[in-house]
Amino acid sequence: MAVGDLWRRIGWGLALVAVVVAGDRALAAGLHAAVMQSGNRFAVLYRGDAPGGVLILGNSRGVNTFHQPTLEGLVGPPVFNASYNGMSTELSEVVLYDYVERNPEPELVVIEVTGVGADDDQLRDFFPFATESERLRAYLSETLPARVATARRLFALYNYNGEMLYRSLAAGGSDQGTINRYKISPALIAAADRQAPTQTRLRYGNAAALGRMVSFCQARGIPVRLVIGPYLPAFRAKLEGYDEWVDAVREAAGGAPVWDYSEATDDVTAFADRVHLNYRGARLLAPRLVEDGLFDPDVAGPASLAIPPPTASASP
Amino acid sequence: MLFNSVPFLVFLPLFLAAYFATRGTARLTVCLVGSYLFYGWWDWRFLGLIAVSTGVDYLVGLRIAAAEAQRVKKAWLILSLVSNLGLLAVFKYFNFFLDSVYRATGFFGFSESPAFLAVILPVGISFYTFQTLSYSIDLYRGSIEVERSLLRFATYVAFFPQLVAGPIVRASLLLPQLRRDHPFLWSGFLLGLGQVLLGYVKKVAVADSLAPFVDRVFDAPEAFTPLSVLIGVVFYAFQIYCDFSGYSDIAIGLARMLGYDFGVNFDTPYFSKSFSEFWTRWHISLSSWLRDYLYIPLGGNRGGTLATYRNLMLTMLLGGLWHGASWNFVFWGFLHGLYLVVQRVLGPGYGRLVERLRVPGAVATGLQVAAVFALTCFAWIFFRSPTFATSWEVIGQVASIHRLSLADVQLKVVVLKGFLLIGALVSLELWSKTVVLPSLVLERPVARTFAFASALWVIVLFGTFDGGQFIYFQF
Repeated sequence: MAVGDLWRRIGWGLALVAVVVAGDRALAAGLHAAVMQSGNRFAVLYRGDAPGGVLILGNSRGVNTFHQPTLEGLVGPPVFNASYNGMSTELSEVVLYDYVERNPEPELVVIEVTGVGADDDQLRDFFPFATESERLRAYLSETLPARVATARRLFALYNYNGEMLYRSLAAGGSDQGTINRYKISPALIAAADRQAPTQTRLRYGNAAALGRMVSFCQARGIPVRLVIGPYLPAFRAKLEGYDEWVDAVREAAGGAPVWDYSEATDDVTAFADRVHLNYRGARLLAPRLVEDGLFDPDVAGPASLAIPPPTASASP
Repeated sequence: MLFNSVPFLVFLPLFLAAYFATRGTARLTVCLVGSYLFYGWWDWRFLGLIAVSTGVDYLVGLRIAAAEAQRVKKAWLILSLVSNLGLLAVFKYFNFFLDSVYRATGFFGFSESPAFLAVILPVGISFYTFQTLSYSIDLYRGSIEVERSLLRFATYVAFFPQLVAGPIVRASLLLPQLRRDHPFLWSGFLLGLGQVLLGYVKKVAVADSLAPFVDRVFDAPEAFTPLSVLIGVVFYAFQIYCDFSGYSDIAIGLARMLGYDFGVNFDTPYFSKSFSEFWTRWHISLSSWLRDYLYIPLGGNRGGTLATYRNLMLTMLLGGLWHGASWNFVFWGFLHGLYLVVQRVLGPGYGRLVERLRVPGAVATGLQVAAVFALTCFAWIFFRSPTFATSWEVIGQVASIHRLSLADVQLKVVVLKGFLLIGALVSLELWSKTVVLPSLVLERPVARTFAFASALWVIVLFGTFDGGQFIYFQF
């Protein structure tokens, strides 16, 4: 091989590396701008455009139990749902603090608590917002393996390799109305009837985060509602140790009452699957939540508590 | 070692350096040691099987070449067939046949549980046994020369780019290439690198992005709406295509970088207008193997209509069984055999109907492509399902679709990403039919730079990096 050819090929190799790196940074910057300008709920939150009023936090059950457009028509103050699929309570804690720092202080915080069992399966989806929050950045680096951090440093585009990008691009003006619109299949109902009993789950880190969130809100005078959304009745019947689990959640939250709607409806057509309401179910549930005073800061606790708060004599 | 793993990304540059720094016997030694390292990284104990298969067919080859009487040649060929098919029978099919017999006898009241073998399926066994078989058969037929160098023959059997999931490179194609040194060719290197990158895009960005949705649908079809199940089936068609053709692209591209030509293994199969065309475009190295070593020896289409149908069915049934020890695979093969037979029966009538109705050519072609794709998807249901019960459940779900509404699509974001990637892939394949992509891209430095960079960006932005195995490893 001629020396000239060799240098030409080395030059091309270096040019390729330069184009890859420059293009990676430029495309990532473009995607970041697209995400941050979108109606994605977390883009709104990190832009500081959330309305205050009622803040809802939780996992996919939070997304599908609380249909924001329906609630906004029934509740006085504005409603903002910052729930996300697979979201752990630890991540909800980060989102809560970031929300309060950037947006008008909420008048009420509603937490759908089943995220206490979550492992943050979709944590990587939050990479696009890491540049917006030191707290989120720290949480991501603590929680994810070191090789992920290396990949993020090497390729800025890797931060957009997740559902959040598509959710942002598809969000339009707002994604607050996102909810499952389909109905559970008869086969899945039958499968829920047949299935073996299943354990409820509470992860220590999430329980501790829940306690800190409640204390944080109480210190600021923000009322907190701990809620358990509805389950498909056949599935709810298979949840082992459910009452003990609710006790543990309440204890983690410093004794705050739990508004338990896990058995709120027997209507299977209100469900998308075993653990999620659908659009119809969320629309049916919303007036009941309002009637029960869930969104009224002056109501101390649920009138017809399935799980009553502990009395002084019952406390250890 | 997986092509989509960190160890391989370390192994490859070291191997390339050693390969191009050596010549002749030293280079073959580098190839063989590198290939054994590549395979042994998965489980070194199974190197013994490759060595046995290599040793037997090497000796058989020498004996066939030395024998003068046809009867003696045949005896040695039978030894090769028995040893290679015996390996497959023990490691791949023994428990399956035992279980099938057990179930069949259980039906008649026998309930003695058989002693199943506690063996795992050695990766790539179906590929390298077929490769060595082709050597013995071709030698017996006198269509190739005997290979007297054990080192070269062992390298032919174990050459790492195609060892674990094909393509099945026949001795007539690869052995002559191993007999000479290939100098470093920049153009070949770039062509190979381009194909490797395309393979990674197909595997890591497309196939592995579709996989989670497909897995969930086939794990629990009842948890999905009928429309979502249908999407899962279509996604699987593209997942297996991108997974397997992606692997082939990486294998063929790596070989090109080293100076070897492995031929073509996939040629846009989902654009096929008939099933006979499909089988000349899908897993070409296997389908041509089955044609040359099974279908034609059975009589091909030379024995009349019924014999042709029988030969087609037998070939496709065994082709199905080659994929795995399960009745689902056999049934998948049966369906493709049936498609081929029905096509032979109805094909001429369809042509006359199109002429009589004066259907425009493009419309008739579109209908044919759509029909072939739909029936291929139907067969994939059996291929992907763990059991027949799951297959019927999936079919039942799809059959119950009564409306096409976005509201019935579950995991919309995942589905959106999947269709985006499939759309891009189909567009690229359609475009590649109108232009000569390699010359358009590789001969122009700026175009080449942006094409390679784009492939990397696509992998980073859409790739799934959970170390997903290639589907065809299990075969």
